[in-house]
This record gives sequence, structure tokens and C-alpha cells, in this order.
Amino acid sequence: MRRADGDGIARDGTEPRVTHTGERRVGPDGSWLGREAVRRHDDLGALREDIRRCLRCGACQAVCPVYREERREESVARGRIRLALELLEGGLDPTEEMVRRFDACTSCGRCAAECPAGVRADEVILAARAELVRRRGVPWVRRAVFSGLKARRLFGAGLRLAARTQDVVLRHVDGRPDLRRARLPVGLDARRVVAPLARVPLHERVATDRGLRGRPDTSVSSARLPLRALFFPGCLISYVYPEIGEALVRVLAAHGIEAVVPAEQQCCGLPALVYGDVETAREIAREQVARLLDVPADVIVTACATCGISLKRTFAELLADDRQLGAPAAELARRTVDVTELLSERVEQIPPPGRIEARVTYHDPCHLLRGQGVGRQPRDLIRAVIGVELVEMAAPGTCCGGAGSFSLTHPDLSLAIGARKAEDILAAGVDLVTTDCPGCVMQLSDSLYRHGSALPVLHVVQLLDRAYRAPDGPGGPDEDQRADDGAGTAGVWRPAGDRVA
Amino acid sequence: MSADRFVGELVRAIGRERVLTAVEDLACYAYDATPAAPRIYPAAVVFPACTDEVAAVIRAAAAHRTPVVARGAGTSLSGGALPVDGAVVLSLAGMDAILDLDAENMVAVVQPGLVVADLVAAAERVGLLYPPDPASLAMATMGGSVAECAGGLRGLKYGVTRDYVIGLEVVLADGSVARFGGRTVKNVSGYDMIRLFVGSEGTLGVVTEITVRLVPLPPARRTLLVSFEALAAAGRAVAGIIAGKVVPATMELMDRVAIEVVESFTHAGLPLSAAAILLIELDGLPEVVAHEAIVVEQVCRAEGGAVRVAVDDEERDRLWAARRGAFGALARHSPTTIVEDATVPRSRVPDMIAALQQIARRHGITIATMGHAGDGNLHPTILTDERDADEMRRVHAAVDEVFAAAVSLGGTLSGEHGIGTEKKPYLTREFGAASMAAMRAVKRALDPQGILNPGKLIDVQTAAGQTGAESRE
Repeated sequence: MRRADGDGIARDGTEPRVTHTGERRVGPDGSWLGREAVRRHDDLGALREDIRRCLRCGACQAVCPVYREERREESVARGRIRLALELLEGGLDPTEEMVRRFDACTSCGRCAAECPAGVRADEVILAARAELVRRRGVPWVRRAVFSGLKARRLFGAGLRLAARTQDVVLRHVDGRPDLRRARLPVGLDARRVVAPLARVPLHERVATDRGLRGRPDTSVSSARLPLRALFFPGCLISYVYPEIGEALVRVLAAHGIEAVVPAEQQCCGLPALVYGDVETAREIAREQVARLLDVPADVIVTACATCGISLKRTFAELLADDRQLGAPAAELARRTVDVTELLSERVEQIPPPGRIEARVTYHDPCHLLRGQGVGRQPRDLIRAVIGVELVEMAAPGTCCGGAGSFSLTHPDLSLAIGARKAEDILAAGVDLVTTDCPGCVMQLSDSLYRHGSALPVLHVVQLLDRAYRAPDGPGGPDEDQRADDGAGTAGVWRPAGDRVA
Repeated sequence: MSADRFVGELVRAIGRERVLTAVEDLACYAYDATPAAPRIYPAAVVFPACTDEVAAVIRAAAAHRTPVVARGAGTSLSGGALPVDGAVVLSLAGMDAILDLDAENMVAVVQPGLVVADLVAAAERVGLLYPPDPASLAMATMGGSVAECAGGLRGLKYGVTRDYVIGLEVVLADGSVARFGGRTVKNVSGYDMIRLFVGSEGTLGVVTEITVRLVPLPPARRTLLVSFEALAAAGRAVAGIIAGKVVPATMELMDRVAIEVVESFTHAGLPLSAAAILLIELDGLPEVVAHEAIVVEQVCRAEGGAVRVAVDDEERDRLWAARRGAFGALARHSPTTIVEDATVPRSRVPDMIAALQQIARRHGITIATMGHAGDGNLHPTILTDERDADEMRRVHAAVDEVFAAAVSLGGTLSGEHGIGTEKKPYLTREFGAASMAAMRAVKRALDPQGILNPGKLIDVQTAAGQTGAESRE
């Protein structure tokens, strides 16, 4: 058992190795874990056999990003599986200390993907968090946040207000109009550098900009195209990176696909689920499934790895016993694809006309590569762009340390993990880095900034968007220049990155 | 209370941050990779950052007569890193630096927490090889490798950990710091204390710095998969290859049970009709490798073996992935997997495998055998369920007979996994009274209070009257 490239990606990065877990995870009907294990959200005991099967061989140590930093047994799957066993058998109480041990995990899934005994350690950790919440309740801070996620209108209005007032708490970063850092204690570590909230969220941009040829589901569009896709942008693309969503709408249009964007964006619920608040996650799942299936569409598209897991799998699992919504949730799972899955099948028919002279590397989001078995498709798309050379970094499938709210709750760990990722990216000597998840975009930007690098970080659809926007193509220059460094509408784009040889 | 005073001293010595006493943390150090082991929580876990801190911890432990269990990655299979009651676990995982990689003298100086694979990778970058490659090298530490004298797949040609360690810094049982050996290949000054400490399982001292020699990275490799219709033919082929003056880097054997289980999980294309397979890797200069491959093919064909040569790196990697995935496949086959480590002289490998098959039949249990056929180190792997009390009784009886068979064939209890708590009861069978007395004398001389990993490897009546942990049978 060597570690070398044990990140689930073949050395040349072309084909993600289909691990036992990867295979199971692609199952679109919500029963990929087997009927029994779907119960794990409500009962840690459903994973008893996994917990027992752990050999304690320690193979998880070789791949765990948190263990790599801390080198402590309680920071790795083997230790947490033992804690789960003690919790299950009553050997240890569900203490605050116990909660903390389970919290320090990015849910990257490497331990499960590489486990010789096939133990689904990532699922054990999530199930243990849920067990702890059932026995201890949700901590009040999180309860407040999660209830905000549930209230769709309040959530949208709150974020819009925050977008207007963020300059009070966030200050600019010199020379980087795309980045901010906290100036007041607002739950954001002052060292973290983040993208600010967008002034106009995605669905409003789509509603007002005809050039996008997409439409929010409350308006009537004249721009009917042969195929209709419901785009689920998720919170980050809606409110922080709407330009990713705009790029996606344009790229789909180039393929004759009309993108419909929900007028009211709501969280997919995964942040609640990963912290064990199963009931909130289930409530959100109920509402989302009903709403999303209400919109007539041929396919449902995501561009956020985490949202993708929710739609493809988690909703169906959470609602497996729901008489009314169980079958619709499975239907939603079947019809949902990541944007790169949808496009990689079509790119040969309608290849991008533009030329981009750049060496490009790709970072695999954990929730896409191991969570959905998608690693080949984004690479195929990157290679389809004329002039682009795809260069693999050392360990493209290793977690970037972002992991959603983990970056806020464990800033030191998140930064340390991100630093290693930044080193791998810079060592690849590229002009820009791409990925397929807005959460990773945010973490990679921060990590690279910290290394003194202004290397552009793009979502794969943004790269494609530039390649499809040939001189006479649809769409103009980006409304604001965030994450955009002079691409314009030119047929040839040479990014002005700080290439490191 | 004395225990509280002890923890207080530890905190003063190395800082609150690096002393764990919460029960949630102690639970995570109540095991190593030993199957079906008892859960014993240590009193504390400490993470010293340098030799001085290790010495301070051991001085405090000596003053309080508290057992010290050194730990690397906790991948021991024989109980070497299992805590004993009331012990302080001394984790060296944080001391993981490569202090010097001296390509000119082909030597590396490392800290004990360094992961073996990290040394292998660093050496490769300068065209060198650190050969010992235990299956756990991706996570096992150099300190653990030294403590257990780790072996691996390349033992036949390259030897084991003890063949590479040429210098050690050791904190002794009273907290004093000793250095043995150095950077020179030749060194006969004083007793050969290095050979004594390598494989001593943390019972004689705590290693805080290791100097190893490296060898040139072989420029060429070739892998062959040979299947045999009879186990004896595979055994004769192994002997024939060596007789032909060829020493492969590795010569891995899998018996029929192992082939079936591994193939059913990995679908790697192993020949299900075979009674045994040999997976052979040759390495060295391209011309030499090419010549050796011809000899190996001729010998194997003469014994009725069907030879497949890996045509490219991809096929080679696929074959070795199947071998490396074998243990995982066996582990998934049943709830409890017990790997034994009996080792016999190379020429007795077919006899040992025949004995293993008889033992399995006699006790009605499943034993899959894999192993390093070239060096006689076999890994009979018992596939069972620790919750089935009746079967576990038969398993224990079978294990007794496995050890008896190995010793009667001129072999040893353990080739590379160590004695620990698991094989301690059988040690007197391999050694006579005089040998045991000599080993006890060494232990008493270096650890008079019996605080270093007590109850492992050997039981000693110490001055304090304690024998360490109770032995389990």
C-alpha cells in the first residue's frame, strides 16, 4: 500500500480511479448505500457493521488532510471510528469534548475511498454528529444559523442587506478588488480573505439581462431553446459568485440549452446535515424537492459539488421513508447532473471556437470526485479548449481545506491544508487554476493570495465561457471584473497570471 | 494523588497543549492494529517535540514508576503499541523531520516520527532507495520500523530494517541520552548496541534519532506473474530460481484460498484455476534484469508454470495493486482478520504451506496464505469472526499449531511483525531457558524498574516486583 498518488486520481489525472465507494456513490436512486444504511441519518447503529469492520490498520492516516497537519489519532478516521463505537456501546458519553473530536473533519471522503476494509468512515463521522445532536441538541449558535437557512425569503433579504452593508465589516485587500477580509469580529477569522457578496444576486441578473438568454422561473422568456435545464446555483453562486452562474447560462445557451434559474434561492441544507441537524436538513429537502420538480425542465444542473450531492443523493436518502416525496426525491436525483457531465457529452458536437493560450490545472472538489465520481468530465472539457494545455498538479484530488463552514470553525487547520494545496498548484507552473465548485474557488483564492500569488482561479464553466465567446458570440464583457482579468470578448485570451516555473 | 502530580510534571515538562488526558482522546490511543486486542486506556498521551522533551517525560515516568509506551503510527500487528494499564503513551508522530539527506555518503538522518514512505520519496528524488517496505509504509513511522525491525516485500534481496540502521540516539530508562553507531558503514567500536535496539519493541529505550544507509535506486524493473497447478511446483520454482543464481527483489506467493478471495474482490484477472501463483519482480541494470528474466522464465516453465510478463508500467502497476490490495480483500471477506507471521527457511516453504492447509482442515477454519516466498516469511491469514466464541477457540488452537509447525521446520514465530503481547506466550518454545535468561538479563540491566513497554516481548520479574501487564492466552 503506497501512498504516492493515493488521492483517487491516476497519476496522469485523466481517469479518476473508480473506488468501491466511488462506484456506489454514483447510484442515482438514493439507495446507493443500500436501504439499511440510508437510515444512518437517523441512527448511528445503521453503520454498526462498518464500525466493526475497521481493522485499525491506520491506512486513513496516509490520506487524511487533518491528520497530516495534527498527527494525532483523534484527528483521523481510525480514532473517530473508535469514538463512534464507544458512543454506540455506551462506553463513553456524548460530551462536548466528543462533539469537538467529530467536528474537526473536512468530510473529504479520502479515508473511505482508500480504506482497505471498505469502511465508510466519512459516513460514520456524519452519523455520529447526528447522533450527538439527537442526544445533546443543536448548539444555539448553529440553531440560529440553520433556522435562517430554512426561511427562504428571510435568507435572500438578509443576504441582500448584507451585500449593501458588508463594507462596514469587510475591508478591501490592497490591489485585489475581488477580495476582502474582516475588520470586525463577525464570525470570520480576520486572517481569512474572502470574496465579497455580490451587489446583485444571480437570479436578478438573469431576470434583467436579456443577453444571458436564461430566465428566472417566475418570468416568461421569449428565448426558448430546444432543451431546458433547471440550474440550481446554490448559495455561493447566487450571492457571492453570480458570474459563475452567468457563465454557465451562456455556455448552456451555446449548446442550445435554456437555463432556468429559481427566483428564490435557498440553501441545499448540507451545512445543517454535516453538523448533524438532520431535521433541518430534512425540512429543507422536502421544500426543495417539491419546488424544483415544479419547474418544467428536461434536466437539473448543478455547478457546486456540495449542492450536487444534496440533489443527487442526500434529499433522496432523507426522504426515503416519506410517502409523498420519497419517489419525487429519487426522480430529482436521477435527473440531476453536474454541469461538466452535461457538457462533456456535447462538447464534440459544438466545440468552443475561441482560443485560450494557457497552461491550466484542475483541482478536484472532494464532493465531486469522490462524492459523485466525476473527474474525467471537467478534464475533457478543459482539453476541448483550443490552446489550453492541461497540466496536473501533484495531488489534484486532495482536499483544499475549504469544506464549507469548516474554514470558519477551524481557520488554522483550513489555512494549513490550503497552504499545501497552494504549493502543489504553484509547483505545477500554470497560468490559471480551475475547479468545479464555488466553495473550492473561494478557498483556493485565499490560499494562493496567502502565498503572494494572484493566479486566477476559475470555475470550469468560466473557462468555457471565454472560449465560447468568440468575437461575434452572445454576451459581452463581464459586468464586474471580479475573477476577470481582461478576458473581454476576444477570440484569443492570454491570462496575465503570475506563472511560476 | 500521585497520578495527578505525574500529569502536572508532564505539563510542566512539555506544555498543556501536548499532554492529553481527556477520556475522549485516551480512547483513541487504546489500540494499535492488533486484531481482537483488549481496550486499555492509557493515563495520558504526550507529544514531545525533541529529544530533551522525550528525556524529561521518561525522567518523570521513572520517578513515578509509571510505564511508558512509545508509539509511532500505531500500526503494530502484535500489540507493540498497545498501552498497558496506567501507562503514559509517548507519541513520536510529531517528531517527523528528515534531519539530513546525505547523498554523497548515501545516508539519511531522520527523526522517529517520519513516515517511511516520506523517506522513500525523499531518497528517490536524489536517485537513492531506502529498501525496507512494510505493507504499512504509507503510514508506519521510522521509529516504529526500528522498534519492530520491519521487513517487507523486498527482504530476500535487500534485507530488513536492521540491515540499514547504522546509527541511533536513544533515551534510556533513566532519562539519559545515549548515542550508538554513526554515519560510517564500518564501525566496530564497542558492543553492537544498534542490533540490540532494533527490534526491541520499545522495551529497552526510546529511539529519538535514526541514521540509515541508502542504496542506489535500481534503474530497471520487470514483473512476472507465474501460475502453477500444484503448490509444490511453486516451491520448487522458488528454489530453482535461487539455484540459478538469481535473487529477485520480491517473490510473492499466494495460495488457492488467497487467490479466490482476492480475485472475487479485485477482479484483477488472477488465474482461479491455479493452486498457487508467484509474483516476481526483478530489478537492477537493464541488461542484468533482461538476463535474469530469461532464467526465471526457464525455471518456472520447467516446473509447469504459466508465465506472464508485464509488458509496461501500467500492467506492472496493476499486478502489484492486486498484491497490495490482497490484505484488504481478505479483510472484507470476514469480520475478523488475523494475520500471522510464521517464517521458515526458504526451502521449507512448501512444507509449511502444506502444514497450514492441514491445520485449517483439522480445525474447520479458513486460512488464506500469502507471503514473501523468497525469504520464507509467510502470512497465513485467518478469516474469522471474533464474536463467534466457538470458532475463536478453534482459531487459537490452530494458531498454536502454526507456531509449533514453524519452529519444528527450523523457523521462527515472527519474521517481521514482532512478539508484543500476541506471541509472547510462545517465545519460550523457540528459545531455551538459557536464551530466555540472557534476554531477561539485558532487559533488567537497561530497564531495572521495568517501565519501558512492560509486558511486551518478554516478562521480567523486576526489582519493584511487577511483571508488567498480564499475559493473555
